[in-house]
Amino acid sequence: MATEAPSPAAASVAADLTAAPAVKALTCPGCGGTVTIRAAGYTVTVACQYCGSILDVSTPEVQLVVKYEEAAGQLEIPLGTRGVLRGVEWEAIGYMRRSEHNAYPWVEYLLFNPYHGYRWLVTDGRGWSFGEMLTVTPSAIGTSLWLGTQSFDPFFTEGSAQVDYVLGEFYWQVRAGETVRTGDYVRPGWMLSREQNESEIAWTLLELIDPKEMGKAFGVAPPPHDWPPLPHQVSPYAQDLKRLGKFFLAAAALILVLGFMLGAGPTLFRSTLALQIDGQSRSATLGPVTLTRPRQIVTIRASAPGLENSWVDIDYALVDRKTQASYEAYGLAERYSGRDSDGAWTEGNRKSEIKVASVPAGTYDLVVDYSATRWSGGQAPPSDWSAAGTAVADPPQALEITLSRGGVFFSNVLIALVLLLLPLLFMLRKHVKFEQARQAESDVGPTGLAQLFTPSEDDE
Amino acid sequence: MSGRAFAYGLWCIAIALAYLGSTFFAYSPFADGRRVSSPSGIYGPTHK
Repeated sequence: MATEAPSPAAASVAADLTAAPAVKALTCPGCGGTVTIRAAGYTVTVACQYCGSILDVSTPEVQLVVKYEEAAGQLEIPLGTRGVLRGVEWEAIGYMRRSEHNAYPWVEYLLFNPYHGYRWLVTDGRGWSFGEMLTVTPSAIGTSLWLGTQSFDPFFTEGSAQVDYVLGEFYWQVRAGETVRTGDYVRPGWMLSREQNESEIAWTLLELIDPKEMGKAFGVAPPPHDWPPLPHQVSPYAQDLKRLGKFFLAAAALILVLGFMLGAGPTLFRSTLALQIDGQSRSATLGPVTLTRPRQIVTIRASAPGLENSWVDIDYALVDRKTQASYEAYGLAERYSGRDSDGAWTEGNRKSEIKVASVPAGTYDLVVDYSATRWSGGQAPPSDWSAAGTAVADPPQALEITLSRGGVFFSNVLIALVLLLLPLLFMLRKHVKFEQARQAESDVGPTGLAQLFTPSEDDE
Repeated sequence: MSGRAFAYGLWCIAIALAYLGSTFFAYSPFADGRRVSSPSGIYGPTHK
């Protein structure tokens, strides 16, 4: 969507603007109306505002180039309108409607300021871009183009642009039907546009303009539709995602650090019970322990270091001596090993840890019911079986019980992190949808996150 | 700061406070052990 290259004479004049050109009036040979040239001396063609005829004003004898039958339509920015963009007052002097073989129409307004030259305003109804013709050629590195330190990725690699309708003043002899080859490269908020004909290549850098800024400058209404996004439109979620990511990291760090700091607590007692692996249930009352906080986590750990091919069921009951309120939990320590076709294997954990929630202050006894059982499903026959096949009691082992105040519920940490992540994932999804829509018509296919979340043709 | 970022900031604060509250009250919906309520009509010690 760049401009047609100016003729060398016009370009050199435009590049060396040192003084305000004169406003000139002439008579349209088509209808006799008075046509005002606002950039007299630079303008080559001008369209009559009354009959739409295209006039060649490059010579003192005004010539009728093309006479359009259709009347000049109501333009969104009437020619002659002035507006301030980027701190410079511009006057709309030309209007051009273009398309790619009568498809994908867009319009371009030529702006003029006697001290800053020409600029373009381009829109296809979804937003406005402010364009400046470049005097340098972008450098190509790989598939991208570079302009200074900014890179532009290919979007429309090969297209065409034809002039469908023209009105106003231009710095070259523009005619309806004029066609150039085009290519567009984008980065968020910017588009680098190439237009090429048989004799030259012109590059235009277009910057996406906020609709509010356009409304303020030229009084145009916001775009009636903004979907799908423009090729160089910035995802409204991209910037927020970065901010939200920082919030997430801060909140996650706070949860982890404070959670672990507040969760730490002392060991209140440690006791060792005799463990007989005979399947018989035994009971022991340990304690007492005094809990002082209004509410606390109580962590009970059990360890049977000599356990082998056996398991220990442990039922805990933490009983308040005063209220007889009971807090119960179940623990399991187990250890198995053997050998199969894959070699030696082990399974289970000789240690068990359970956490009891919301235990109020008080003095408690810990009642432990436990029973140890030998696993008889291993390939190797148990060593405690006699030749006659009768069980022989294992030697007693130790079962160490430790009770601590405090602890961290990892489920709480996980829930908090998931809840923190949910809005982030929702916004990431919206961002990906936006990027997929933005890149849907790209000649090079989706890139970045849009590519990551777009199934390839091989997957379909 | 956009409305979305502000709302998410509030959400983060709410989650962090909820987590700290659960730590303060030593609560977890997935704790291994918790208080056993007595069946109605039965009185006396519940432990062995």
